[in-house]
Amino acid sequence: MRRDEFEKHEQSAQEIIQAIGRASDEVRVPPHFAARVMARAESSTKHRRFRSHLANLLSPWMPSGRLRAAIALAFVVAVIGAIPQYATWYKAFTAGVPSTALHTALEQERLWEKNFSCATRLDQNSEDYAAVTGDKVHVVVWACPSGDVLVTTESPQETASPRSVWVPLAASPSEASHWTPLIRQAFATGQRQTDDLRLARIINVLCQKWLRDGHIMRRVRLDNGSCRDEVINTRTGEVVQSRPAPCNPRC
Amino acid sequence: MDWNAQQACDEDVQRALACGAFPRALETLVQGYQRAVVGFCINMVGDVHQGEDLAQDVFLAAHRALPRFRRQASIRTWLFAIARRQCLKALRDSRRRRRLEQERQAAIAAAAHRNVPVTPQEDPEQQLWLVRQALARLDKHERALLLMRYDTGLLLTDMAHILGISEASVRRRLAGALGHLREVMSDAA
Repeated sequence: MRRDEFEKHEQSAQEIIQAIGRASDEVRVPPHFAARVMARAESSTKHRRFRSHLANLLSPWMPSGRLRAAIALAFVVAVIGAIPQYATWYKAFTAGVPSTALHTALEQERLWEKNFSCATRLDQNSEDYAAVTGDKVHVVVWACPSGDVLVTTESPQETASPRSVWVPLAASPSEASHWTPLIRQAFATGQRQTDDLRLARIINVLCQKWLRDGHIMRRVRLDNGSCRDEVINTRTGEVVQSRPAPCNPRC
Repeated sequence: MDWNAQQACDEDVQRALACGAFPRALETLVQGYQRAVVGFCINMVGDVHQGEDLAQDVFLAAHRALPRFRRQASIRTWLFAIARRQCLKALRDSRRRRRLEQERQAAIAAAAHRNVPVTPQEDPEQQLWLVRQALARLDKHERALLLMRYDTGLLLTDMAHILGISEASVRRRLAGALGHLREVMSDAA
């Protein structure tokens, strides 16, 4: 806006402008206003001096501004970077396995799902069946058409709980040895001479079904003619329950 | 306080600052500007007690900022820049604003029952009353503009410095604020 236009505008509003100019006319500065301001300023200065003194005392132990920012940044990056770890912990917690074994557990569960019907056909008379008995372990090996192998181990002296774990086609024996010490033992035993071979305990699977949350139940016939139901945790391969059952092929 | 007195005060403050005597500078500043700042703050928030408290805060903020005063503007311009900032900040405070609004509405309602002269232009007192009511209803930024210019008597160049805009923009905003004030006054009348 040009100066002359503005001056005209002000001229036309002269009465209002004068009234605004008198807006503070009645204002009375309260008594001791200046004294109060000075007292507050003095108090504020004392506080500032104290804070400054404290800061000087602490300064040798306090990181500088840049270092503080770097520490804060590192903290934020660490927290964000650890999000996958938090997710792993949560999944491991819900799966009921240690976080370090989560990957293996999920892989085992996936293999059980993939080879479920194959595992149901486990039969001593099949060419895909092999059994090995070592000094401390009975091992039944069942190869599926997918190439994955179900290894069932059992310790006669019950030094370890029985397990049924899958060894995926892609896994080498050395990788497979990650599963459990018993499997490693089983592979070691499997490399022995065939003289050690003898009838293993499980002859065939009569039936099999999924139970709650990553568990399956299968009914197996044993070499002594009896049958039993085994509940297997598909994530760990552990036989969590085993009990005698009628040799009925319907689970 | 007239222009010459303020000039003298500014010079005293500058001298105290040059010696690093900040308490003396503050004392001089308070003595020289207390009436103008208290009046500005009261008119800005529309409440006497709040305005007085706010004026104290303005001087305390000025005291904190005194060591950083760079003489890019006059003491008066610098002080009213602080006062404007403090008042706008106070008005932004929602709780305070709500309370002030309630008090202002109560004051307006109470005033409505008084005997108001019918021809305000002929009565300066009535004109002042109307202007105060209208200022209270005006946008806070426009209120600050009008008070800085016509109550405290800041120059357009000073206002341009405070607001960080050109002098032409200050003129345009002032003209707009005057227009709005007139509208509010005519509505109220």
